Amino acid sequence: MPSELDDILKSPRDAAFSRIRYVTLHATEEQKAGFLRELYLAAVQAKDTGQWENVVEKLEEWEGWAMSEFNSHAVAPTVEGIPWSAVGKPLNKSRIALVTTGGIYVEGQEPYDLDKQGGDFSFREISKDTSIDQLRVNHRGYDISGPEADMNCVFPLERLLEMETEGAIGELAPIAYSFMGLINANTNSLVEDTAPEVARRLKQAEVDAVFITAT
Amino acid sequence: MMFKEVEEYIKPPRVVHVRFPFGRPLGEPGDTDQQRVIIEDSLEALANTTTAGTVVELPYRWRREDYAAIRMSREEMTKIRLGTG
Repeated sequence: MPSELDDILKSPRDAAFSRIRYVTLHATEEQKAGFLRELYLAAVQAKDTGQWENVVEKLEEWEGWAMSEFNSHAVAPTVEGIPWSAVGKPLNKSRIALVTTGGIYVEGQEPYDLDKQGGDFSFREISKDTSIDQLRVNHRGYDISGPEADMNCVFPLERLLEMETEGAIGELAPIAYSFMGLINANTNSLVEDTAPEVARRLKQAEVDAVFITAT
Repeated sequence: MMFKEVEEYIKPPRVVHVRFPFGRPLGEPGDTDQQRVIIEDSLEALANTTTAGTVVELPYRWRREDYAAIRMSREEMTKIRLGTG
C-alpha cells in the first residue's frame, strides 16, 4: 500500500534529486521516516552552522543507499563478455556518432509508446542538421524537465557540432540515434533486433566511435 | 552513466561515471561549460582506456563546480604544452 511518505518521495518532477524517489521502493516505513527525520535534523543544524553541504551529503548518502537497494533487488539480464575495438585514430580525425537512451525524437516522428507492454524498444534517427527546437522528449523513467529546458543535457547535439567546427573531433556523424531506455520485459527485442540494427547502420556509416548518453 | 552498479554489471567497453541526478548526464540545462567538460572527459576516456570494462569516475559534484574555470585552466595547460601561451 503506497503511504503518505511515498507520495512525498516518489515523483521525479517533485523531487529535486530524482534518485531520492527510489527510497520508496525498498525502504520500510521506518526507514522512510528515518530518512525524513535525518534530513530535517541536518537542515536545522545547517541553519545554525551555515554548513548546508551537510544536507547535500545526507541526501547523497541516502541516494547511494536507495540505488544499492534497488540494484540488489533487480533482475539483470545475463551479460557475457565485453565487446572491444581499439581506438584506431585520434579524436580530431574521428567520426563520432551520438546515441542516447533518453527518449529523444524529432517533431513529426512518432513519440515512444510509453504504455507498450514490456517497454518500447524502437529507435529514432535524428539528422545532425535538425534544429534543436524540433527535438522532443518522452520518457517515464526520469525527470525530463532537463532536456525540455535544454536538449544538450541529454542529447548534446549543439556541443558536438561546436566541437566539430573547432576541430576537436573530426566529424559528428550525419545521423544520431535515440532509444527510450525504460525497457523491462522486452530487453531481448532490444538486444536481438533494434540495437543490432542501429549498430549495423553505424558501421555502414563508417563511424569510428559512438558517444552514448544514458539517463 | 549515473548508476554505478549497472555500469559494473553491464560492463560497456568504456564507461564514464558521473554523480549527477538521473536525466542530467551532461549536467544542468544551459550550462554549456559543464556540458563541454563532461563530453571532453568522456572522449578522453575513450582515447585512453586500454582495459575493456573500465569505469572512469569523474570527480564533479552536482552544482558545486566552476566549469568555466575548469575549461579556462585546460586551455592554459594546452597553451603551455604547445608553447603557444
